[in-house]
Amino acid sequence: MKDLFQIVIRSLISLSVITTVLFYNFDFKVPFVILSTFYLIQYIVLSPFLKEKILKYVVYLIDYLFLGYVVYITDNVYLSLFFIPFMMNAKNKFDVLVLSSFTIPILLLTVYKSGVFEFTIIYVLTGLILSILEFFKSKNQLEKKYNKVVELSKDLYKDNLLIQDKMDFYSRFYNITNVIKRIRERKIEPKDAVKILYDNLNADGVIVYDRESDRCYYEGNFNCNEELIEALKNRKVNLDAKYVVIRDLGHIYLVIVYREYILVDQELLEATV
Amino acid sequence: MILDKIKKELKNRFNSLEIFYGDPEEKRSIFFDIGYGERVVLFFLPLDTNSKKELLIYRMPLEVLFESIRRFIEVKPPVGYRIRFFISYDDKDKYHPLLDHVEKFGKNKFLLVVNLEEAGLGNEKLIINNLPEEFLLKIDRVLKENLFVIKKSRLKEWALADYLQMKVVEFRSLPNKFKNSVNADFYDGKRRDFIVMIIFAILKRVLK
Repeated sequence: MKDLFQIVIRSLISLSVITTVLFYNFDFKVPFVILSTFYLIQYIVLSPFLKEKILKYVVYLIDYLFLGYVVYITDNVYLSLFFIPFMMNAKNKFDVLVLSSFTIPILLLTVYKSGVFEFTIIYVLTGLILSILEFFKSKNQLEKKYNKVVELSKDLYKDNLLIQDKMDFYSRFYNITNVIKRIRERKIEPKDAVKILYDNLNADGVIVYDRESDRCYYEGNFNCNEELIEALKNRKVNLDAKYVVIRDLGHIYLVIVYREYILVDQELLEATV
Repeated sequence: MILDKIKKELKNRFNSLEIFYGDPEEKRSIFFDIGYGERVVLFFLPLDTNSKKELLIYRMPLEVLFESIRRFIEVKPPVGYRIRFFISYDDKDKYHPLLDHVEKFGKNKFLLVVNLEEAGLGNEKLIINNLPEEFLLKIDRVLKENLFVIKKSRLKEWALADYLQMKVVEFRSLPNKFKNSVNADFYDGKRRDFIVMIIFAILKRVLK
């Protein structure tokens, strides 16, 4: 995008040279049309140099030489104002130094060409240069601020991830302890308790057997059949799973089944059930 | 479009790679191999319309992929098996190109699939769906020996391992509200190296 912008500026320069040559009464029309097209083509060829460290000044030197020559030959003073888009390319203080050292001879030339007594153009141009310098100063400050904010928010993002992890753990912890407490106080139906437990654990199956009403509820891959209920009564459960956690909560048996060979919820189970 | 850009970036970084299209007609996926051998370990990176250039969810897994390619080329090439990197782009179902590819070459050839979809975004959890007993215990031992602190979890609703019916090592950043909106400026080299080290430890110790 930025390269296209630069090419558009150079083509504007060559177009303005061509129009001044064609519309005013000028002797060497064809050579200047050829020169300005040649200038545009050489910029497109040399544009990869703009990424180099020192070679990019060669490209700018050619630009300024062309501008100075055209201003000297055609007496069109306004062409020298094209130094502004060149100055906008400066990225650090050294660039500003080099480019302004290129600009000053051309500005002196324009002052000479426009009549030595026309001093207003000097103040106008110094004002323009000062405003450009101020623009760069504020741009640098904004970049520094942006980098600071990004670094700060990186740290905040890291902390936020840790906090999200802990929040997830504690919300599960709270839900499970709350459900078990309510089961003991008989304030929740076993049907709802099974769902909440299954949502908050990584288990393959959760089974709840109510001894008083002789009813069994399950969620997940393991059904509760008669064999299982009898086994629960005798406290000897044989399921096709690696980890089976059985708890006696007053009037209810709670069974949590894990088929995997690593206990995922070890921390949660040790803390709550 | 995205696949062509990734192809260019790969050629810029690593000259020696030969990159093929997974399905030359529709151009939904690209893949390339490192090393020799009949058995294949597949590194998988799915992309869809959510993965935009300025977001971390696109940048981070791609950097993990580049870093692992660099290690395989410069540090130590794989021995005894071949590494295949598979990148797919599909708007509707981003896992479908992988299923086609696996069925085309035969499931027996693939030792392991490593899914890099959310690797490196922070709060990673190792997904243990559909992994056999020996493999899981070996992974657990490797993680404990190398002192990697990573939690394990089991996905209830949908997991790539259940979809493919294969061994899949997969990382998901599970409690993470901002994973779809974090900017690529939040890129962190340490987190990338952490995930790459875990993957290489698993490859080195478990696949023998």
